[in-house]
Amino acid sequence: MAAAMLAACGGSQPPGALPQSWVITAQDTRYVHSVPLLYVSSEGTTHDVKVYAAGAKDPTPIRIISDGLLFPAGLCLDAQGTLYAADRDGWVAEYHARSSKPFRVITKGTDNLDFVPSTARETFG
Amino acid sequence: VASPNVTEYLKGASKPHTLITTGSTNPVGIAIDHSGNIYVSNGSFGPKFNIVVYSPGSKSPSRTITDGVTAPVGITVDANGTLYLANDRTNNVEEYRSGQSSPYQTITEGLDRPVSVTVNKNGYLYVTNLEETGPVAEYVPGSIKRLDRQISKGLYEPFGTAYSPPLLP
Repeated sequence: MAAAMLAACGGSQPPGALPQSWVITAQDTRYVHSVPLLYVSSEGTTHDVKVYAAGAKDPTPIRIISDGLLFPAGLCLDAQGTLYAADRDGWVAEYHARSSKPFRVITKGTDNLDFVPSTARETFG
Repeated sequence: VASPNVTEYLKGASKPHTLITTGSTNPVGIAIDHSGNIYVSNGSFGPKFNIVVYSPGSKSPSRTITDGVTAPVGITVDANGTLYLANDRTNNVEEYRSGQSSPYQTITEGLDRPVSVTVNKNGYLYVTNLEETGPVAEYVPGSIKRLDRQISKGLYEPFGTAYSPPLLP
C-alpha cells in the first residue's frame, strides 16, 4: 500500500521562478473561498466524486466528477481549488477548479493505492 | 510491487520525489499539520495498527501513537493541531490534542464504519460512513453529538472527503 502526498513547494521558490500554472488569480481565489464545498468520493454503484454545498441540510450534489475515475478513494484540495483524487486502481487524477475532466494523471509510484481514504498536501518546501 | 510507503510528489510533477518507508508498514491515511508534521495511519489490514508522526523533512517517525488506534483508516488535523482518527470496524472517531498520544474524546454517535474524516477552518468535522445508514455525518466543534443534518443524496459507500476551502493556505 502507499499513501500519496502532494507537495507544493511554492513557498520556498522565488516568485519569478513560479510556473504560470502555479499563480493564483484573484478570480480563482474568489471562487475557491466564496462557497464552502464538500467533496465526497463514492466507490459503490457510482464511481465518482460528488460536490455538495457544505453546511446545507442533505443537499443535492451540485457537480459530479467521473471522468478519469474508476474506484476513487482519497481526496485533497489545494488553495487554487485543484482536486487530487487517488484511485484504487493505481493513479492520482488532478482536476482544475470547476473542471470535471482531469488535466493530469499520475501513474508513477501509485501501484498500491488499494485502501487509501486520504491524500495530503503541504505548502512549504 | 513496491513495499509500503508514503510517496511524495512536487507540485506539477508526475514522478515521485521522495519515498518514506520507515514506519509506514501499511499506510492508509495521511495528514499534515500547520507545522509541517506528517501523520500516517497504518491501517486495518496491516500487521500493526498505529499512527506514526514525522517531523518536517524527516523520513523516520518521531512519535508513534497506539492508544485508541483500533482499526485505523482516515486521519486529519484541524487548525488547532487536534488529530482525528476514523476507526473503521470499531466504529468510532478518536480525537487527540496537539502533541498528545492518548485520545481525550471519542465519537461513537452516528457512525457506521467511519473511514474518512475532514475538518474545516471553523472546526466542523465531517465523517464518511462506508455503510449506507449515514453517509456523511457532521459534528460541531468539540461535540460528540451528530448534527441532524447530513449529506446522503447520491452517495453509496462514500469513502474520501475534502473540504473547500482547505485548511492549509
